[in-house]
Amino acid sequence: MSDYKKVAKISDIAEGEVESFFVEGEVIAICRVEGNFYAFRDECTHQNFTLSDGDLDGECITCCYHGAEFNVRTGEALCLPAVEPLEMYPVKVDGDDILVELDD
Amino acid sequence: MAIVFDGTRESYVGGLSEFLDSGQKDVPEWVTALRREAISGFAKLGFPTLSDEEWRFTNLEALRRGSFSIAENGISGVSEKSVDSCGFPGLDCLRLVFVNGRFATSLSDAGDAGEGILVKSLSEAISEHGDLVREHLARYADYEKDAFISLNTSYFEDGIFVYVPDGTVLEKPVHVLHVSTDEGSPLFINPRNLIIVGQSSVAKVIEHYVAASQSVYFSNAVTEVVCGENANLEHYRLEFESRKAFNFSTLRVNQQKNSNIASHSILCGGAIVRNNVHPVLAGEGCNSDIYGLFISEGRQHMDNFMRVEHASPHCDSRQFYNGVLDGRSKGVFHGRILVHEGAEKTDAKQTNRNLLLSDTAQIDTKPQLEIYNDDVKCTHGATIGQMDEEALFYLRSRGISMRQAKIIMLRAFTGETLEHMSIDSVREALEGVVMKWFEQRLQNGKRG
Amino acid sequence: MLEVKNLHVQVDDKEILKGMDITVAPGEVHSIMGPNGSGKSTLAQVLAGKEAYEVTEGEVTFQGKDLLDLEPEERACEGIFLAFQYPVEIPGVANTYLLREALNAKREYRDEKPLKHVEFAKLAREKMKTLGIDEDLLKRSVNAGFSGGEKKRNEIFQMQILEPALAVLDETDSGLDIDALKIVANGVNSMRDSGRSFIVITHYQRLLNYIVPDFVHVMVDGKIVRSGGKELAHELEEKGYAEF
Repeated sequence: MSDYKKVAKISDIAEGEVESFFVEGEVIAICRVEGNFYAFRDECTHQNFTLSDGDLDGECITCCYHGAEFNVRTGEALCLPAVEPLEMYPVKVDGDDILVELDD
Repeated sequence: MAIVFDGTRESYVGGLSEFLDSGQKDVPEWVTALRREAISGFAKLGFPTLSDEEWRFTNLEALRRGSFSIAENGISGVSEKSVDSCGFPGLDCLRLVFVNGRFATSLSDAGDAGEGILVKSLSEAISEHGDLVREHLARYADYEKDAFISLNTSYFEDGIFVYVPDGTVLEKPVHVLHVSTDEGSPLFINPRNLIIVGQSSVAKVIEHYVAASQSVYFSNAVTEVVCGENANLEHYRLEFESRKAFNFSTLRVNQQKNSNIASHSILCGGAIVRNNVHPVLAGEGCNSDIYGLFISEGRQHMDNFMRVEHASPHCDSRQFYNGVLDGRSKGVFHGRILVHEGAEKTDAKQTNRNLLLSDTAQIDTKPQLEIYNDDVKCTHGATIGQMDEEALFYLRSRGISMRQAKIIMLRAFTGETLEHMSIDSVREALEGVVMKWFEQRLQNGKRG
Repeated sequence: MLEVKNLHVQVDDKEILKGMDITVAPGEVHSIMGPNGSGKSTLAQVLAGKEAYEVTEGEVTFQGKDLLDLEPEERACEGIFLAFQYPVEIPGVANTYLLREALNAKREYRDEKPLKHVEFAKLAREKMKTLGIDEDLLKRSVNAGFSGGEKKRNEIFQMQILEPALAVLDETDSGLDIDALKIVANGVNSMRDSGRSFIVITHYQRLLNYIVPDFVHVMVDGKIVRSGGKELAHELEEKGYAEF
């Protein structure tokens, strides 16, 4: 069952930035890269630290705690200490709203 | 007006005065003083972070970001029928029901527990047996060191109170049903339970946490147990909270000389779950058997934190924890055994076995032995694995279908912990729940 | 009953069976002998349907059906039984539970009613007596903590309960003392009839004094290199496998 929830407005996230949102009991990070939005669970897969505390450079986000890097479009772990990919959420843009699909 | 906490430390600290003004006017002064003391503990601690060694696998960011409030109404939308459906077929027991942390008199039947035995709500006990409660409440669960115990001690409204005087057998098990309901906005619920089993006395208590709907809430339960000399307690903690709930719980047991406890923790619900089991074997010759089974799927996160403290000689403890993890769920087993100086002839054993049903499920298992003594026997062992392919093939080679073979294997695995339950109807009910869970997994699974 | 033609099997890209042929008619007992590593156990596992073994060439027909097309449980229900060389320990699953599940799975496959507890208990008790198995063994977890002899006897016990059309005994005699060997052999002999066949895989001629085969095959390097009657076993005992 697809279940898209409104999480943010487009204007909440500036180009090249990552923001973190609390929705339905989960913390979700949303990135804006060249006009596209990507959402993932806001935890580094290495040691569960909050990933949105880190820096976004193009499609690459770096965890500020231990330096793991991920591609925010694909979720792929790009370097150690992370091995597992990010858990990505499907994103839809509807007018000014950003919707994210949370499965139950 | 509901009291709302916005997730910050300040909101939880600042909310207390409003809480005390709103519903706590008839409460004895010592309880209020206790709450104030406890919140100052939280003011110092705040929520733990990943940098805290005891919390290094569980990110509480969601809790710090979430807004929660204390329920305005007590019982809403919980019917006798739905409460009955949470019972255990054929079990003759006393039943106390709490809805969102408040006692639901009309749904409860404490019956006649027996001569001198008290089975009632904690709030009633505070007003009727103040001295007895005061002697034990918050004496064991340390609100200065644990943020969740601080919060619970500050904001608890109600829970079970069981008192079994010396030399007495509580014949019927006590079934304590804590129900959470959807009140529109996420609730902050703090069940507080106190169980006192006197010298050479016997009791069985089933704490059972269920959700009436799959909503977001923050449930934070604390149970203190005093097990007198030569007493015997069997304690169950059955956690079937909402799949979106934040569920924290602590079982703190104080065991006196030659006492026995068996503790069973079954974790099934919750989004982020942390279950602390902390027995202190304070007197000589105690025995602690701690069993646990956690089953998780989807994105559930289950953190089992054991802290078994041997403080006296000739005590035995056994931890036996099994986990079954599917989907992208994560499990943690943190098993700490602490043997104090002077606790000679300690025999402590810990086993944690984990079965991963998917490639994306994860478990962190961490034994931790701290021994300040020479003459002790401590062992620990942990295993993590997929289902045994050789065994599956063996079963199939006898004509048993893949699906049935998997069910047989899973039943055996979970049975390792469930089989220690002495109340048959509870064990059977749980076997049923676990089997249903597995069957759903196998149906959804691509791993036919 | 069973026809294996030019069977090639590999494990982890290594070819183990290299053109195996064997034909077993109803009521026959075939013995396969050969040195270690000749592929005897691989054949047994392939017949039972072990997935790790990849069939690259050849065919296996069992009672007119393409055996390689069937899942392991379907093969069992069709009447194949493998007595494992190393029976698997399954802690937490009672022996009796496994047996009843297995028997009822087979009955269901044949559209027969499942056996009730009492009926099953009666059947099990009968078979246990002939094999000298303690009732206690039924309640214990499958093979867990069993001695070597107990494990092998348990395999034969399962075979007796499940009454297969074709039983493959994979080194069931290995490690048995002479008393246990006799019990196992009796268990097999008591089941011999015109409709049931056996493939007895063994390293030693000793077993064949008790289970007398109709045919003996010598297997070396993944195929049968010589076949004969029961006297071939004696010859092998004297000369060994060196000449192959």
